[in-house]
Amino acid sequence: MTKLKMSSSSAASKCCFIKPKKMVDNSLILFNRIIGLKENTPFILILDGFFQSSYHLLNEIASKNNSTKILYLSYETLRKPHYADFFIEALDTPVKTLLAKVTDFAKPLNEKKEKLVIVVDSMNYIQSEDLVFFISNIARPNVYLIGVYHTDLMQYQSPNLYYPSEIKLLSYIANSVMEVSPLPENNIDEELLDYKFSRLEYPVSSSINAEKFRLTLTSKRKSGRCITFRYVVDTKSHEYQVLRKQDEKNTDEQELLEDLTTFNLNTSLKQKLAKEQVELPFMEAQENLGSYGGAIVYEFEKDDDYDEEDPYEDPF
Amino acid sequence: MTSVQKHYLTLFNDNSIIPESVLESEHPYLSIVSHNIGTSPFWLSNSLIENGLIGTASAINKDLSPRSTQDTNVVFISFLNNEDFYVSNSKKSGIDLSINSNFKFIDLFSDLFSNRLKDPKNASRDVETMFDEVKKIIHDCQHKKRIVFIESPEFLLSSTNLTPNQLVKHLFEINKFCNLLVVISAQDSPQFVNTMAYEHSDPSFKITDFLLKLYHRSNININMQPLPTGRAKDITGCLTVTKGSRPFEIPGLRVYEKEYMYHIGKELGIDIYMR
Repeated sequence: MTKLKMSSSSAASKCCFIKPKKMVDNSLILFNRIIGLKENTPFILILDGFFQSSYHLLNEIASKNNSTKILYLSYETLRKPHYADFFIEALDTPVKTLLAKVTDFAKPLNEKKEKLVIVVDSMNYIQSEDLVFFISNIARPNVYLIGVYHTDLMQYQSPNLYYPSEIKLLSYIANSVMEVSPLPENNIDEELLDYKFSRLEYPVSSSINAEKFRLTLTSKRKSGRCITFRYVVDTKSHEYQVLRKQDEKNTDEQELLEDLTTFNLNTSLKQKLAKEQVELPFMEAQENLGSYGGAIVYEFEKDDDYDEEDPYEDPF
Repeated sequence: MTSVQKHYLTLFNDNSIIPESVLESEHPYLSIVSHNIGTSPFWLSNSLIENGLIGTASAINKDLSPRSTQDTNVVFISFLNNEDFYVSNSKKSGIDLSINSNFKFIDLFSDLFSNRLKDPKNASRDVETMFDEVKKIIHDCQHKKRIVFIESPEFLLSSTNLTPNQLVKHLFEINKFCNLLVVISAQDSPQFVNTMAYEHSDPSFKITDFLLKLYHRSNININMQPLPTGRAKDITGCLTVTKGSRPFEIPGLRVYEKEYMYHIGKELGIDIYMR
């Protein structure tokens, strides 16, 4: 697990490593570049849910772009956030009127070639038929759209049966998709969260709606290649960690073995290292004898019983 | 249960129920009090009203002392009860709401269908007029510090053609006029809350959508449930306090997240225990 620390005052390009590695993890650089708006990602989609809000992630993105002008389109925020330069109340405003208001702010900045970030606090309030029109009309050079979509709201079926769902449509259009979810905790499992969600209840847990959460980033390259990375984002200390599948698997295994019996079935870090350092005999054999590829090598030992008259026993 | 230590209810890390800093803040905050059929929250509403008006909450926290100046307006809007219900209940806590000039009750229960909403199938206009009146009353309040309670607004979704977005819009507009909006709502599942509902006109679909949208904006949630393990003589229900999707933007102020069990005894004696 590689750690990268970013101080709030420093720009995204300045970084110091807590655990120096031989090579800086590319995924961390990519994440930093995307939230620092240094990548070519005109539309970043943030997916949040009942148990983890995007509030802290938006604050983090804003803190990384404090010199950039931010226009906040509000459907559910009543007061202008501290990081926003402009604020438009969008609830109950027709999309065309809204776009005209956005243009009023964007045009002068566009002429000066200044960067503008447009944050939409909830794209769920825009009708699915208007989504494409809205996004395509907002897009222009130097404008970055960051749209939040709540994945757990009730889905309104479009009158057109063949029209894609909002989340599919947005995920298709977006250049980067960030999905936030709470960090797993010992006393809370998926089943409990599903049950709680079905009754719209929150469990008492420090990981729910916390400042430290799990983030899944899907980045679409120009070539069409799609790459996905998972991170643990701590918006309080501005530290990001790459979460590898192996790390999760190991944690899960450890959790499974915990309290299973009175014996200790877990392996400590020291034991794991010792286990990895054991040189297995067949590896050594391959080094010495398997240099000519593909051959089955058999080395006789003194106790081997070789019968010369047996036609089937031919080690060569 | 006699051997278990009783606790006082606090909602924030500064041991308060409604902190002064929330009432002084420029940001409008939202709280959701959810309950089930067996766990009526009227005792909590009364305590919150008392805390808002005077600073004390005699039924649930005897440590709180009265505020030096009573400069907070409390407006209670109800689709479920009339004024007498809350006035008579508050008398048990030693407060007479009927003569308190800082308290205003807006009864949207008694004449909702006889006077206010002429046609429930086409109610958007009438609902707008009704909420305009409510907003005017809140706006005309004497003090800058304002707490507004709205009880069972989801009733409009099940009884009229109002959409969740329209109701959310009205509540957000009310929230703009006050420091704290407390939405009291029933969450019986699957009667009112059903996340698997798919029919748009189904009241449970509309109510679930409405509540989910509120939860994405809430700052503190209080949930009241019956005892999950069954009925008990000395326990009425469980009360859970959790932070909302958005934190309070007040330095140092945090929601004190806890689970409690409570028992409502004779003469509204409320015992609260840590779970």
